[in-house]
Amino acid sequence: MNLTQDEEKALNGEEGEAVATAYQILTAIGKLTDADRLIPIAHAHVSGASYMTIGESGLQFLESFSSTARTKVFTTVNPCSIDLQTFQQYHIPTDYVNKQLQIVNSYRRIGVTESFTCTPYEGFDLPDKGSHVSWSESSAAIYANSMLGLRTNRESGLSALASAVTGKTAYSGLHLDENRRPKLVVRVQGRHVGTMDYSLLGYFAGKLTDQTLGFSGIDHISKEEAKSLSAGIGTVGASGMFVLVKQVNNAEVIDYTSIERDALLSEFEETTEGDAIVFGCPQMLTEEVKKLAAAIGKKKFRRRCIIFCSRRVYDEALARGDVNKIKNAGGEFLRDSCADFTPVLRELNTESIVTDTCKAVHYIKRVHGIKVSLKSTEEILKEYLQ
Amino acid sequence: MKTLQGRGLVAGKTQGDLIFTNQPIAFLAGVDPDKGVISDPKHELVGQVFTGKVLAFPYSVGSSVGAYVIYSLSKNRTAPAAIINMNSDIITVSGCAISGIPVVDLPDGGFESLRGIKNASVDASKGTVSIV
Repeated sequence: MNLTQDEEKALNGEEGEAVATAYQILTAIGKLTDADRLIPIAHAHVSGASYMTIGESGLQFLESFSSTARTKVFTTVNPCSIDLQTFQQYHIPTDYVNKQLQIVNSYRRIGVTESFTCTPYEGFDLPDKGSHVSWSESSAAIYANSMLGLRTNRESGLSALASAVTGKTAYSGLHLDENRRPKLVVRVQGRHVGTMDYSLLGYFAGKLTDQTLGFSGIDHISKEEAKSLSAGIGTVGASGMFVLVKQVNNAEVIDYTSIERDALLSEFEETTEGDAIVFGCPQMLTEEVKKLAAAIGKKKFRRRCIIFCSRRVYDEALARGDVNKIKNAGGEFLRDSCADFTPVLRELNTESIVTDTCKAVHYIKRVHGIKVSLKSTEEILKEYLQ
Repeated sequence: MKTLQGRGLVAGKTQGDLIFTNQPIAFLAGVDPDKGVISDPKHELVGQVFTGKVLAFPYSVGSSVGAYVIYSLSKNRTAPAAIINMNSDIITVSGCAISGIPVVDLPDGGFESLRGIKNASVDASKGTVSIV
């Protein structure tokens, strides 16, 4: 990869150690992806804000990195592990909270916008279609390429951070037209509707290829279905983009029918009922919160129900009156947090959770060692709202 | 002695016991950074310790935070001595780049021939993997 004189100087430490580290990461990725140069980006989205995922070593890294590095472009950040306004209401150990706040403060020093969301496409002004960006958070990167017409590789937390403080990314992979066409098409047959169904489709398709995926047989996809599909692909796969296609052309074809769907769903089967409900992995979008509020009517949740969404989505829902409706029914909101990696789930002291996406089941099971059952949003509301 | 020519992606040179899998690895919630072990219950190598060994897998999958998990492995001294991929990926390369873990990938073939091999030398400056 060819670097400009200025980039070369920055790699050699002229802009400080942190920026040099950022260029080291970018040049390694340039080599990996056969990029000939770095290009400017319009937006970076970084992951790696939860103490529960990056731990002590991540905390130390960011502490040191943030002493000199500053964002050069508009940068949003993934959820951390606590609601920064209400964490005192939960019995989270003080030491844990302090570590989490240290990480949050490092990102503040670096200059990120305090989004704390895995859905940065909701509530923020985005660059024009076709713009080059650098997004980590696999579900968001896949969504950006597939639904927003933005161009990003499936960045890691570290590579997106490198982009944030240099304003650059390697010109390769999904930034190039040739890699945005699917070589493998999943032929979707039967009726697939809603968050859980698309989550299952993503969990199935993600394992098939690390390249761009095509789906045929889908005429229309809602925002929340696309979010869920992206998250399913991201959880188990390495693909960074999907395309809805009408024709299969010369691509390899794999069928996805109700047989594959039901087989996958049975892998998620749990015998327990679910002591608590978790919604919002990835965090709930405005439309989903609206629907939830509308479904509640005069009913109440008969189990504890925690709803994860960004503070932007929450504030809008508050203004609409939806937050009150949901809280009156017994729902609890957690902003700024990831549904999977939060100490609040430990505090629930529950043996089982019910949720509506494969991503939530996948991580909550592995991280917290509790039973998690997968049901559609509608099924959950039918069963748990009375 | 057979030498496979690939691409050196993160510099370094080492030799060690080889652990091979043709299943991708998810670093977040798929490996335990304290113990240096594959923890994903669905992975064929579940329970396998890779600390100090040469770890060969096709590419990584899953969370973008995986790069920080690789960094944790190196800080905890539980990291593999080197990584060999079939087609490496951004998570693996960025995590290894700040951790100083050598990475070689073999996109032009040869990855599958590592199956059953007990020991490998990795030279990332030349992009080679040598097996006896």
